[in-house]
Amino acid sequence: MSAFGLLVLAYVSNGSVHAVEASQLVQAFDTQIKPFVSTYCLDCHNSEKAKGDLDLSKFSSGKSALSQFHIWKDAAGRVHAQDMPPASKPGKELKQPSEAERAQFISWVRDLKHLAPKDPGRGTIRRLSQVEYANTLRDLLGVDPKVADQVPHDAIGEGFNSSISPLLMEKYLLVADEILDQAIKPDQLQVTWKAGQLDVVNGGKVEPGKIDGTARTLSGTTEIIAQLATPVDATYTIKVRAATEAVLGKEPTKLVLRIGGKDVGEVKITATPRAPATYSVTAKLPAGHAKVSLMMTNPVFQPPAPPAKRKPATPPKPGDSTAAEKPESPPPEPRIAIIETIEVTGPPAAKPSDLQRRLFVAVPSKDLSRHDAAKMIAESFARRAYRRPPTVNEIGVLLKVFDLADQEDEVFSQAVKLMLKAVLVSPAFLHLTPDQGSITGKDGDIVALGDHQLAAKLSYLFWSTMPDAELSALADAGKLRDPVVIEQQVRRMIMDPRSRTLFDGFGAQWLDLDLLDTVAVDEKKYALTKDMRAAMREEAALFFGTILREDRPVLEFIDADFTFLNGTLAKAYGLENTVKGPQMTRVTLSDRNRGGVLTMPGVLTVTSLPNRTSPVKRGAWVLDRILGEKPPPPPADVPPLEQQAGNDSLALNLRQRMERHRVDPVCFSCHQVIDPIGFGLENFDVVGRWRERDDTGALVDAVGELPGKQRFSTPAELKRILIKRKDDIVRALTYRALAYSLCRSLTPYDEVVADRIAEDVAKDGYKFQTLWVRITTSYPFLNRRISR
Amino acid sequence: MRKNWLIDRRTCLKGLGVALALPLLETMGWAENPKSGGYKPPVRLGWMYMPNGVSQGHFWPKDAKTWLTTLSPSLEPLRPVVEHILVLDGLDNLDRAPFHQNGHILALAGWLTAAKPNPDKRDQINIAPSADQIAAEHLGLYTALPSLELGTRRNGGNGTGQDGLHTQYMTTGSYRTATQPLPVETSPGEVYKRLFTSRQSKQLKSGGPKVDPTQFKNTGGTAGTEEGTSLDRSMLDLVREGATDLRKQVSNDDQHQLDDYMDSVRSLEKRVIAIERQQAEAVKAAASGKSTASIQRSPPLEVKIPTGEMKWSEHVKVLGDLLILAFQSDATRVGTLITSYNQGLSYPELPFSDFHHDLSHHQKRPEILDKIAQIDRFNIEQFSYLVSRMKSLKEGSGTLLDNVIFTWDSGLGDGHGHTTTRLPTVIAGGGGGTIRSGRYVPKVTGNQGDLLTGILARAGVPMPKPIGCGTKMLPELS
Repeated sequence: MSAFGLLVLAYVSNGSVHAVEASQLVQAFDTQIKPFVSTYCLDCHNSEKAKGDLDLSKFSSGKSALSQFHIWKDAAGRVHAQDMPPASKPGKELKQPSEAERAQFISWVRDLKHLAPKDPGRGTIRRLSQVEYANTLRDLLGVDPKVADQVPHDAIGEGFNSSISPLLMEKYLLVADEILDQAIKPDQLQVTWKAGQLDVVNGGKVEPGKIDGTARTLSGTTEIIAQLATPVDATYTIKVRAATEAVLGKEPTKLVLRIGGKDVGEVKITATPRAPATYSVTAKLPAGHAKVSLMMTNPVFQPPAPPAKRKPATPPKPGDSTAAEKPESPPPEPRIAIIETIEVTGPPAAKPSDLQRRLFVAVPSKDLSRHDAAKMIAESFARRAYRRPPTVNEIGVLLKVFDLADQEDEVFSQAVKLMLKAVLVSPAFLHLTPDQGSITGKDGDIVALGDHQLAAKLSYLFWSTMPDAELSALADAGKLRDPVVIEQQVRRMIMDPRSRTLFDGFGAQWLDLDLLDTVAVDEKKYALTKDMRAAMREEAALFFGTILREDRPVLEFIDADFTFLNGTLAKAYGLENTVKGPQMTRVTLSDRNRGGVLTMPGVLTVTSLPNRTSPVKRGAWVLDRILGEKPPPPPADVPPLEQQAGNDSLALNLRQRMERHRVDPVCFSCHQVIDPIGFGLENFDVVGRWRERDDTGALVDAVGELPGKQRFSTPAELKRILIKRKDDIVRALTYRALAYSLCRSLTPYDEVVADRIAEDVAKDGYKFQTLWVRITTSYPFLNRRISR
Repeated sequence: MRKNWLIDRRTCLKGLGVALALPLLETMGWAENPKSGGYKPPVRLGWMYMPNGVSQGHFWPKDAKTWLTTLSPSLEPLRPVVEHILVLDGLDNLDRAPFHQNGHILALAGWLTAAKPNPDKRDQINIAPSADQIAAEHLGLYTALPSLELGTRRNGGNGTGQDGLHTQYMTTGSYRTATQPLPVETSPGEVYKRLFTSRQSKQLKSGGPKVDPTQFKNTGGTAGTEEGTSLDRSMLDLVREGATDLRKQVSNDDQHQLDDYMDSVRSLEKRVIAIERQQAEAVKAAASGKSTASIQRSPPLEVKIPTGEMKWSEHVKVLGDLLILAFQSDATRVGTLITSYNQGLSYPELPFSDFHHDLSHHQKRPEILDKIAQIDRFNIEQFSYLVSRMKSLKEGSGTLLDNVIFTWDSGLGDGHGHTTTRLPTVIAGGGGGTIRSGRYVPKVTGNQGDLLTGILARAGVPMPKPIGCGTKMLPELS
């Protein structure tokens, strides 16, 4: 936010945006700014010295200054703070600008944004944040959003880093696995043993499977075994992929298949090791666990000699030998069978889950091929997952994935599962993408967002999740871009309980309450329990939600006569006799030292040090978050005020110590505003409890004065002074909310827009919903610039 | 017995709270040493970071001769391993101009990049790939994970801070590309699962879309060729191909977004391949009887994952243990451990509760410098614990410690003035015989970039140019 806003306090508070003539700004650069810069800045910040890597000589016009707006804002902040130009440099006193000159420079920089061309800004694609991802999975698949807890946590907002790291990608795949493994059971029992997983029994001794072999061999009386679990009484198909060596003559190598000790069929192998074949047996099996075994029934063959009478196929008995062969024949030779895999398939192992039934909008049948059924499933799921109609190519990719699995003989449900997994790791699911086909135009063209992208943008802004049926239907009908419809939808979404996520995203960032979980505070001394931290956050959330849903003026963020407390938090308010129990309830406040975010225990805690309050931190926080002024930080070698040398004397209280520092003019310009606000809140201790005496035992002195001789002596009076700056307050909030909504830092043109929105909101009674309606119908929200 | 080093998820979850016996992974690219006939373990690279600089007076040894016996107060915890330690004095990193306001925001960002953000895109992440990621790009080809990024606290953050810089610079040390900051993993349980649980994906019988082998080519390694592919890998390949279609349709500005995406998918495919390859190696080795398991190695480090709340020192230790375990089992060869960020941390385990950052502005007051020295020493204690752990693990003819370069440092020299000079730098390990340890070098002749360049070169990482502000390899490492 504006780095030079302090001037608003020091000079006239003027929030109204007057039409600034571009031509005046352009002209003023030559007549006022250029002379100012060359007189006071170029000595050091020229192209040769470029002190601090800053060369101000390269700016030749207002436009060129605008291209590096941040440099000028920084400069204006420093000029205002009297940090620049410095009083002297070695061997030379430096000429100082007059107050009028400073003011002129600062106000020109403030107005510079009006030179910006009308431009909605860059970039439209971003990935989902962790919260959005979790909620989307919930709404898309009906799963517990906790499944996404393993994904690194983050939240959208200004400067959201949208890149997908390998870790994130890996987590997306793991989460997809977890959900789909749970939801989609094989529609058939299917068990496959590879050779390496098969154990061999030889002479009563078990040789466990070896991972190195691609096949197990069977000869003589050896037996191959595996354990099978059948879910139900039914007919199962057992497929044995096998070959046999040294088959001479016509007789195949015969194996008996036994399951649970019962002969269920015979496998007659004729395939050679070069081309193993699959042999099927079907059998009715009872439910339960059983041993599957394969054993040879004709373990030897008779080399061709005198034709011998074929031995009838009888079930062999272990230990049964072949010694009874005719002695006059050539010596018999052993047969060898090679087993590659055994696969058992059967009826469904489990009923399809609800989710599976919902996702499988088609099943293959006589009239519907597997591919076509998969296509219907893909189209239906991708439409929801991508939050827009998928393109032909996108469906093509999904079907390629399906075919891939299908060709690998995966059962239908498993092939579809791989395809659904592909959806969940697709760029169009993980990112918010523009409507396809809407991307035409050349570099620099400005186009409106498509209906579906807009629906998604709105729903992620207010609900942190995918659009619901109503939004989707409006998008499908092409009706969403009408501002009247947007306003209706925004108000509807706000009234829905899901808009709580606007606090969890925007509100918590704005008020710094995300820090509450980790803020370091002496927990014993201040009784800051987990419950207390949770209640502090909840108070702010409910308060924010109330202003939002009741469409109250945003000024109530500064001062209001109500809040939400439970028994835990009531202690901080001294209301433990009024409010009891764990439930948060709405409470009307008679003490006007309370009410509003400034005096909420959560805010007061995150702006404290671990073992004492920090008026500087609190004051700077109020300036930044409430009034939209970011004072430049102190030079690096100046320690925080509380820690400067010579101030450890116990004779001086914190306030006296700090007042000594305002003697230095460089410190004074900022601290004259920061410190009084902070001291005005000194009646609240580290965790926001009211106190009359500070840590040294001295009475708290909350008296202060802000520029313009505005005196106060209680937090209530401080709030009354601050709330007079209505326009600054609403503008500061608008800047933050717009940056959050656009997920980027504001461009100069965005600031022009934000000023106008703030004005509209002010005119409409500062209503909070109006702010969101104006943002979501604003030019940068609804349009984008194409770059090629 | 199935010679599969990955453990199913349920077993692994049982590992939380108890020590679980783990197998050592089959190693790849452990060059056979022609002299001894054995394997030469690769050099592993680790970094450990403490914010806010040190109390310089308590940190540095007095002189190079007596330092081994009279350790400085902050380095005292290193005594048991001091012969494996190299202390480098006089390293500077870039000054911060034109970002003059910021004191800390760039300390961590400059740590492994030895670079500064692009001032024209300061509100975005736009800096340079960090040394660990440059190393992972190469060394990661051999392992299931290219690198591990660990920290005691979540990183990230939105918005802009001092000097209009993106606040994520404050908490991010690893940058995969100039624009891709990497998140740290903070949960020991999650790290453990990531290292050692299996993902089952059916192997393709045949065909499937062809994977372009050049993308996965192992540069200079001895690892094998592609051996079949799994359904997941082929699926990812198709999805990634599909993304190029979307990429064509979006604005220039958005394309890098999809480039990052595709790059991460590719990286995931590589990871799947590395796991499959490592398993295939195990099969081959078992078949040929030439398992690298024959290399003399200690049994895997026992890591006990605490379940409830952890003290800071416990958290650092268990994350460090996991990094060591990952090194030992060859699950990765590159890792970073960020023990805290500059804001927010106080040390409740020490007898004072001040914020580390606030103390670091010490105004040269002796009682505050004493507290800083206690913090420095406490950090060095954790480092020393991890160094001792590495020393206890046998590897070939030496120990794991002989084959690592494990660097401890801070992004600032002295927190008070936010200086980037005299950065406290302690290196443990022999780097496979490339680091000369047991020394204190009072005046080095190079900067942070030179240090990083020297470290990477010792692990065999090819670099087209020195890292960041470096111009050469820091000569004082050997």
